[in-house]
Amino acid sequence: MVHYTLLPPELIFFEQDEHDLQLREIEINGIKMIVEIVDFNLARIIRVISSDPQHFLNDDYKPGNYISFEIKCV
Amino acid sequence: MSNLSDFRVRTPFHLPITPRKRGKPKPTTQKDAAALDTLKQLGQTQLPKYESNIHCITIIGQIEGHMVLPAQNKTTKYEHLIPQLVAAEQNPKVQGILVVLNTVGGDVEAGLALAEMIDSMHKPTVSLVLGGGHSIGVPIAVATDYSFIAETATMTIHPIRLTGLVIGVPQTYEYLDKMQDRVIKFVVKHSKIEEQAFRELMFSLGKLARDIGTVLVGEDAVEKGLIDEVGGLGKALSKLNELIHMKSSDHN
Repeated sequence: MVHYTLLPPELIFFEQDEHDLQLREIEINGIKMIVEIVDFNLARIIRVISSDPQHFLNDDYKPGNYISFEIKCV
Repeated sequence: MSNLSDFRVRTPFHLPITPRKRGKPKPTTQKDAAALDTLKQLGQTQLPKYESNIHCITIIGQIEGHMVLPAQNKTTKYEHLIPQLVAAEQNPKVQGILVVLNTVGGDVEAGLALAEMIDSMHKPTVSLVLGGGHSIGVPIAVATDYSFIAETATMTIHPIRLTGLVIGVPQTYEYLDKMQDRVIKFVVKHSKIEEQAFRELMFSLGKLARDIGTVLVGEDAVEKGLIDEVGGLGKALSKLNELIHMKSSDHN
């Protein structure tokens, strides 16, 4: 793998030991987002990943909002 | 944890949950219910749905390749962008793509893959370099049908350097040289700059503090023929609409 970037490698490849955020990638109603797991059924939105600009206007999925999950038994 | 997506979403956690009174008619669809909930809880209605005919691909931070970078890096991942590009190309409602760049560079293969994807799309594409479009961001910026750079945005052109495990044989150098040629060839093919001029920018001395290469600021990038025009979001969107219009009138 070859990196072509301005940043020196020591800035890119060092591992942070401080508390690691538990980030997960999930998809809700067709919108992909990165969330931080706060509790077993609760997550906070970090970033929305979408190419549709209208997804970013959805109030429910703004970064910082909490999403709670309901566990369904199948 | 991919099974998280199987879970159903309830109302956002911080909002008070108002129990629905008995006897009232239930809203018919889920969409109505959601709108009603928002109205009850916040006293406002949801924005009317507007479907964009353009999609926006944002390329930010490091372009991540075959290796997951440590968490402190803000990255753009190809596994996110490639399916988005495929979906946008396929979806008849999407008529154009706006690529917005603010990147410090990253993996050569991933960057070139994205550039090739954008270049080979049939739908009109316009790129806008904001802040910075450095290193491997350059081929992505020139891959679109038309490119813009903000007046204050910069593009750094410098040689590909060795990082990580290095095996000191002449082949290592040749391999890197080949990688560099791939980038140069792509940029030369997709912009107005000549190969010799681009190589000169790449290897010029005394312009960068710790490296060889050149920084092009806004207008400089246009003068060198790398980018088509200086402009911002408004100009980029107008150009994209113009290209969409041209394409649709070609078909009629």
